[in-house]
Amino acid sequence: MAKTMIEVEKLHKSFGENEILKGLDIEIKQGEKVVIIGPSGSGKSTFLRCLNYLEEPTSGRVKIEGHYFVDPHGKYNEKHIASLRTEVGMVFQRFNLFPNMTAIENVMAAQIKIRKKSKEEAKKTAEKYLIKVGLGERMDHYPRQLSGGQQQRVAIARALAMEPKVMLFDEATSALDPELVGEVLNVIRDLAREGMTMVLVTHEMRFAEEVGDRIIFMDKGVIVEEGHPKEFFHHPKHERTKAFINKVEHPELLKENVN
Amino acid sequence: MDIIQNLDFGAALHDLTPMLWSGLWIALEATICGFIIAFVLGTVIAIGRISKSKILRGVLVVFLEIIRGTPLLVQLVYMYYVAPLLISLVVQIWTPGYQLSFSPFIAGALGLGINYGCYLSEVIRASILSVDRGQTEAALALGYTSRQSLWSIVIPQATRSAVPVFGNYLVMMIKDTSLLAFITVNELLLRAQTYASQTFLTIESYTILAIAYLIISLPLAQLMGLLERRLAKRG
Ligand SMILES: Nc1ncnc2c1ncn2[C@@H]1O[C@H](COP(=O)(O)OP(=O)(O)OP(=O)(O)O)[C@@H](O)[C@H]1O
Ligand SMILES: [Mg+2]
Repeated sequence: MAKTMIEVEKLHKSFGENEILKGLDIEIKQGEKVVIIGPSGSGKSTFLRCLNYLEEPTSGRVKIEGHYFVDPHGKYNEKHIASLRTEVGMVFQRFNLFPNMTAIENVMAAQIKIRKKSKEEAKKTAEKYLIKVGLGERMDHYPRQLSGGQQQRVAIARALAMEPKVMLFDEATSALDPELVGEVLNVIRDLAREGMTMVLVTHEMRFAEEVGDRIIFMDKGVIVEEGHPKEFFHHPKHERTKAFINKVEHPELLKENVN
Repeated sequence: MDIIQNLDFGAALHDLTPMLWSGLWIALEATICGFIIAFVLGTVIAIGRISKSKILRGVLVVFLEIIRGTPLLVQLVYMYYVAPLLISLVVQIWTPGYQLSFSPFIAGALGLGINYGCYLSEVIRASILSVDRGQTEAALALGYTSRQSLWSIVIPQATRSAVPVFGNYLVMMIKDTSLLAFITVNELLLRAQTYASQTFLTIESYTILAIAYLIISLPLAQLMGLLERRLAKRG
């Protein structure tokens, strides 16, 4: 029985009057790959950002490997949150590489500043992960000298170099030209195979079905349906799930409806 | 015609040059001290203004409005004649008989520093805010605290857009040191003034003075332009 890596209890999140997440309970096991899908604005990113406290939940709690981000009295301790975040890597839609640093400096920075590694050690680790994502030849390039796909792979290496226990991907390929999507998905696929615990938000349904151990369909801040990928994609239970799958797999139908 | 015939640039140049040189040193020293004060104060104000504390932000805004709403010359005079008296009055509550006074130079550097600090704070604040929010989020996600992310990720990037503007303010400050003459700092203007009133070589003295300022500020402005282009190229 694998141990629990992420535990989310009664998670609510509001922006002002707007309740975006309406009470989510999720448990994710070590090594599990959970894919979250759902229409735009359903709260997928917000949920993912609550998992590393980039967004502070309005109520409810998030536990990483048994550690709460905030103590039971809701006390907010920035140092504690920051140190727990080092266990959770995050990859953003828009890469967010540091533009004033080369690829390898991007990957080294937090190792030195946060993990307190020596420069040599950090460099070794950075090289290892840049080679792993296929960028051994591009280590000294600045982000602006790299393609989108390469930038996103540097961003993945940067997160991995902290040796996190969990990786979060928020539409890691949505900002990429179609011909660059594959190289990034390959890296994520390899990572999945190595047993990394992952939570992914994606619009790539085929990829979701392939890597996911569990698919969660979210709409309007609640979990509508979750299940094993085969089950989920081929025998969806809820009408909303069916409609959504239909819509993303046959976008041309949607356009006809609109016209 | 008389005026033209009586012009004696040779004599004025001969007498004024060494005086202006030592005046220039004082002006440069005031600029350096003033700019350091301005930079530190500007950074502190900028960070205070993006802090979470509403009270702090409010206090700073009022302070900025006061400084920006009054002329630099008035601030310098205030710093020289009034500020030491006010500070003395406060300190006298604990230490009777306490008397503070500022030398003209100290008052001048402080006045310049505070005035420019307020303007620089806007430049610094704007350049911090211009750094994409995604940079902070990436840093936080890697385990930086918000303070660490501000200092080691955001500010280094903000500096790149702020440095060229800083250069312009530096050149402006050198020229504004001429105002220190009014609080008896013996810089270039005061020396030229003194010489002119003694020799009646009015045209010569002030023309040479103007040229002296040009000789400092033109190359400096060029240098700043060069720096700006270099930074722009590095992107
Ligand atoms: N910082 C914020 N302040 C106010 N509203 C926000 C904020 N962040 C998100 N929202 C709102 O929350 C809702 C859910 O946003 P979220 O980004 O989580 O959706 P999503 O499912 O990731 O959508 P997409 O597929 O378009 O990325 C949206 O209506 C959005 O406008
Ligand atoms: Mg999103």
